[in-house]
Amino acid sequence: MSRSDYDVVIGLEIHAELNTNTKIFCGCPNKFGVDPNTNCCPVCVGMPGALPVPNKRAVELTIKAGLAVGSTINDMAVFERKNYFYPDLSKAYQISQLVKPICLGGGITLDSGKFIRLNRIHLEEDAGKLIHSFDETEIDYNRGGVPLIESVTEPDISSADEALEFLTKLRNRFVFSDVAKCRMEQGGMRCDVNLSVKRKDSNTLGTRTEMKNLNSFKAVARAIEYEANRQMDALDNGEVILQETRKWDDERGISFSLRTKTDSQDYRYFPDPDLLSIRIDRELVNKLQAELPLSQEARREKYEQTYGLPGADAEVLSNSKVVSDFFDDCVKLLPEYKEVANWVMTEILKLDVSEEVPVTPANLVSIIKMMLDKKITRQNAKELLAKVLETGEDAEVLAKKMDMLSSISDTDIETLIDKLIAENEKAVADYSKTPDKVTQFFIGQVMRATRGKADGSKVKAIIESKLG
Amino acid sequence: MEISHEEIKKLVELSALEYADEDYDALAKDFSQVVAFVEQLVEADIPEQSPTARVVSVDELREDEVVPSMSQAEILANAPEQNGQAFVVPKVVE
Repeated sequence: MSRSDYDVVIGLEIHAELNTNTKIFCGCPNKFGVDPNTNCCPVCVGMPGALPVPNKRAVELTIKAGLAVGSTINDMAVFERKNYFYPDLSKAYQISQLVKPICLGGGITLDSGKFIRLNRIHLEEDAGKLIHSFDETEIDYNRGGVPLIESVTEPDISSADEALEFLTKLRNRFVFSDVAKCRMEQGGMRCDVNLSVKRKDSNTLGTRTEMKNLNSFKAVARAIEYEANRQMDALDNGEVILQETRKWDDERGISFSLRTKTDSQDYRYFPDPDLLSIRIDRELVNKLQAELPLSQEARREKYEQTYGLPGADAEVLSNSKVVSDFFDDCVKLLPEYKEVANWVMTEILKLDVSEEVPVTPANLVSIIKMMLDKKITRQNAKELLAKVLETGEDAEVLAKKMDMLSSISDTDIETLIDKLIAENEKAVADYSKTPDKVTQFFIGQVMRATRGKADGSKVKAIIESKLG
Repeated sequence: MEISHEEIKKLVELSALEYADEDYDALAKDFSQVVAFVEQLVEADIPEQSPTARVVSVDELREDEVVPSMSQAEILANAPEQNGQAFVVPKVVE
């Protein structure tokens, strides 16, 4: 049969680590990239008798995640134990949620208008990290107990492209609402893919497989293509698809079977007797809703509609939360939208802004203001920004220190140019042959004498009027 | 309630325990008694009402403030096997 005789049916499970200071059930730091087993205590390594105490912010951020994607927030949430033996979980169970997750429903609309439904978002603890060597396995429990939200979609996705668009939009919702940083390269966001294929003329869903270990958007797309083709080939050959967990090997570009579902998993969920049910009041939900920062889409619209910026600018400025927040802070201080936008796009985006912008909004705005007030030239403004970035000092103090603040009147410049013309007879004589070169020579002389404080375009005009 | 050998076998596997076949009769008998004991609850006369649950509100949860963790040496101290940085277990690949 041809590929077009099949429908591909995809559901995603997306894990994202929450933006908290501490772990979900203890006060150990939620921090990536430190020495192994240094952010650990009896609770998060599962020592006998240690008791979990839920983190308020983790619950609040999960509620915010739900609000950011239009979920219904349950008025009662319950933690349950999911039992299984694997050394990434030292307690032999993961504290998760099954019957009463914090968020139910919601979803995201794709550009095509298609709505991808979410079934739920629940809160759970992340597991430790296993490092396999030749003959043994090392365990680092720093990640164990980091608060994790799992967003589960309905099987509404029908292609790799739709999956990617959904993931991108979901990530942006979480990042822009300060819920999670979603850094895939640090394992801060991970995705499992459930996929089945069915013949278009059939109403029954095919047997699905689950693919794990997808650590980049590209891997998700490749794994979906691979698995859909594998299943269609199998059906074409009259084979039976097994319900199984498969692991994606990104290097080799293939997935392989880890285990068939039938023989192993029985998680025996039950309410965790160490933890109370959590009541979520309407007032809290309303308060968190009111605090929710603007979404990426809303920011882009504001930049275009309210600030009157070109669509391309609005897109660039709303592309990352760090840059968008910085821009918002700047225009709050100086509502010269286009000028500030230009500075952010040309000067700030050159810098490393993956974590934060390395200059304060106040400092950038003060530089732009001095320039707009003609206290410093555009060229000096850029130099000043470089110096601010280098030293971290206050822009106005630096401008004074670097003797940039202009006190030169137009008459002063004219007098200076007259003097330079008188001193450089040869250059003046060459003007008819190489006017551009000579003009540049005189501009250079003026800039040197004024230490860059003269306005270049004005100097040029005066020179040309005197020599031309 | 009778607990079958199949059920015992499943529980033993899920709990990652090892029992000899000859222990199964005794286990099945013990389990049946435990379940029968708990089943008495079904007979209790409880007025119709929603199940009671111990409840806490979000406000009462722990503030998101860091407290010092244990040192690496301390956390690893009781491990049957460790290498100074990490817990070490026989190779497991899922």
